[in-house]
Amino acid sequence: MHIIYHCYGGAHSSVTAASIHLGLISPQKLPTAEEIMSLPFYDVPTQQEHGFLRFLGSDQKGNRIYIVGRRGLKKCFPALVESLAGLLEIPKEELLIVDTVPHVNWMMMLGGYLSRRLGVVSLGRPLVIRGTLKAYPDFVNLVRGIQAKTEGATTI
Amino acid sequence: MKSMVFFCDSNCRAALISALEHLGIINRETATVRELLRLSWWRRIAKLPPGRLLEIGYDQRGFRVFVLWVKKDKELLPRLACSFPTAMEKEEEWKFIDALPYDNRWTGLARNLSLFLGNNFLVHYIFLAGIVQLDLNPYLPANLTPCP
Repeated sequence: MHIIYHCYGGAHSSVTAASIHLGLISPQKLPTAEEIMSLPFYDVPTQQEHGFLRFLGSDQKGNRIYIVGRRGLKKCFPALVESLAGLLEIPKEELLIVDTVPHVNWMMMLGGYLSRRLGVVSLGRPLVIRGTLKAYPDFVNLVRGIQAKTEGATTI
Repeated sequence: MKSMVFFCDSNCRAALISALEHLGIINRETATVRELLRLSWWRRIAKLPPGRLLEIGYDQRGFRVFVLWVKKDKELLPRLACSFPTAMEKEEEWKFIDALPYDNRWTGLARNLSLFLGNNFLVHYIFLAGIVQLDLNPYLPANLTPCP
């Protein structure tokens, strides 16, 4: 399956969820700030990089995991991905499009805005990391739900 | 399969006009707004949800021609289109063409009116009046590279 985690900027919540899915960070224990910062693309993408689909890796079952920052395309994003996948002859059933924004708290929003939009990294980054750690159990639950969904699915 | 996708953020109006012009069905320079209003495509366009592709036809070079619209952040579409086949490890030749790269005063007026009035006939008319006046020569598909 192709599992696409998407959020506003593709810099924090989607990266965290995808990394949990891939086992880059343990779902059993809370990671340290250093572990969070070492995740690929965490607090890195700029506005010019929004919209680019990034392949992060394959999980143990062979599902391909992607992240993307889809900005304000929230409602139509699943339809858009399904349309593009259709042109590539990838069936709808092989796609799982996961919005991670509902699990984002105010600290992640404010920290992300300060760091990515305004460029005040020294202020925004500690805040967004703190927010990520606070929301971490929610991301773990989200990923577990996704993994359970893909249990019976075919792999590619 | 080669595909060409015309997209816009004006409820698919500009995308449809550009696609039909590309296929040689209409000529933007000579078409009047009344002629455009009579196009039978508008009913299908009205039902097309944002983010969904609608196939319009095949061009002479064998490209399948589609239209697509989103409400905002349309600049993300070429980026997504560019990275999508690469990330999925698939080969695809597709071109994404912004059918409304800039607003003139009429499309701008229609856009503002649609915020208050919704998408009624007046807004539709003003949009089309603006779209036929756009000079899109610098944005012709031949001048576009498939990926930034």
